[in-house]
Amino acid sequence: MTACAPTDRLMQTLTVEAPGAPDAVIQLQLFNIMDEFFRRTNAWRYEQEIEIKENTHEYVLSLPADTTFVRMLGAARNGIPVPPASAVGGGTASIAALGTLIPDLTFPDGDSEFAPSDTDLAAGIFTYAVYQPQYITITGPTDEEARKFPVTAVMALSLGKSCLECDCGEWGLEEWMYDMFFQDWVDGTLGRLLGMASKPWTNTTMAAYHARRFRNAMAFRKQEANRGFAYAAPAWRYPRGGWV
Amino acid sequence: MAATAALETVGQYLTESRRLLQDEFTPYRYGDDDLIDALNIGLLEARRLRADLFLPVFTIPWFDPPAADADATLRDTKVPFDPMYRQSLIYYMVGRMQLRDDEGTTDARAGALLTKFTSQLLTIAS
Repeated sequence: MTACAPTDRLMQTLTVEAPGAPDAVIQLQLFNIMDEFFRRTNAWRYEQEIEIKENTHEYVLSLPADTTFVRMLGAARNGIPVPPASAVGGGTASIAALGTLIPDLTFPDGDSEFAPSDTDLAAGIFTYAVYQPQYITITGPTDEEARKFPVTAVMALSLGKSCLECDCGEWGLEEWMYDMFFQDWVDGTLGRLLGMASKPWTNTTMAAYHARRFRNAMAFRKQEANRGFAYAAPAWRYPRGGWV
Repeated sequence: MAATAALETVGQYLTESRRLLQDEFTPYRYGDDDLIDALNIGLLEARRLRADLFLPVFTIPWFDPPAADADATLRDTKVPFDPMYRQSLIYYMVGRMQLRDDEGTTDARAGALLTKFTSQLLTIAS
């Protein structure tokens, strides 16, 4: 362990809390907990701009090194949300009900990209889907008009499996995460470590305590991430849909 | 020298085992090949009880007993085992040697040492 590795504080804390646990076990459980944490909370967000190309509907997601794709949180184009393909397909009425693709809101000047005849068909509507973790599939026209604006995709990431197997010690995490999520990861890792069967450090009572704290922390972090890490930011403002 | 240098090589395991067996002078009562066999079997037992000690690939190290006397380099070969649990392997090696029907030893001592090996791997207060 180097003197200033970002994992030092975590490893030191976990080593004294789980006496007898080898470093390799602690690192394995810490990695598993971080992975579970990011998959559940969407707290690790990444944004990518995708330039639309003619007659191309599948685009490779360029993720940072040592990360893996969890899910797409949303996509937008020219400031307008793009609906996921799963939310579209019922025709014009359902699209209008979603409140996301009303033609006169598509562009600021009032132009609509979508002909009314097209909006009856899911294939003609500008949507996105992620059928494989490496690609985003965009449906809809890829004509010159569509290529004017890139699609901004926001996705949730987690740790790449390969970084556990390498010896470099770098897990692709950003440094702020170690401080912000320190207590959550300690609780989660202790929940797993102390709950292991027949180990010198096994303590089922404390395992349940830490696991419960970790679950609560994940629930909090999930909401916090949704609200942009802003304190007490409400999901909506009163009167809902009215003037604010 | 770091504390982790203790019980790091095959030779150090043999020396420490002989110390507890009071078998430090030739001709030995317990040959090097027997002790290395015990070390190999102890590692198998450790793998059964504590797979986590063999992370990340779970390969069980093995040392060739017949080469022990002839090949001095084997004595310098490192035993990849967590420093916290190296002492347990010594207890296993000594206990296994004392399972023999020798004079001057008892089954109770062998049993106690083998039990200590197991309990050190599985419980914190051991």
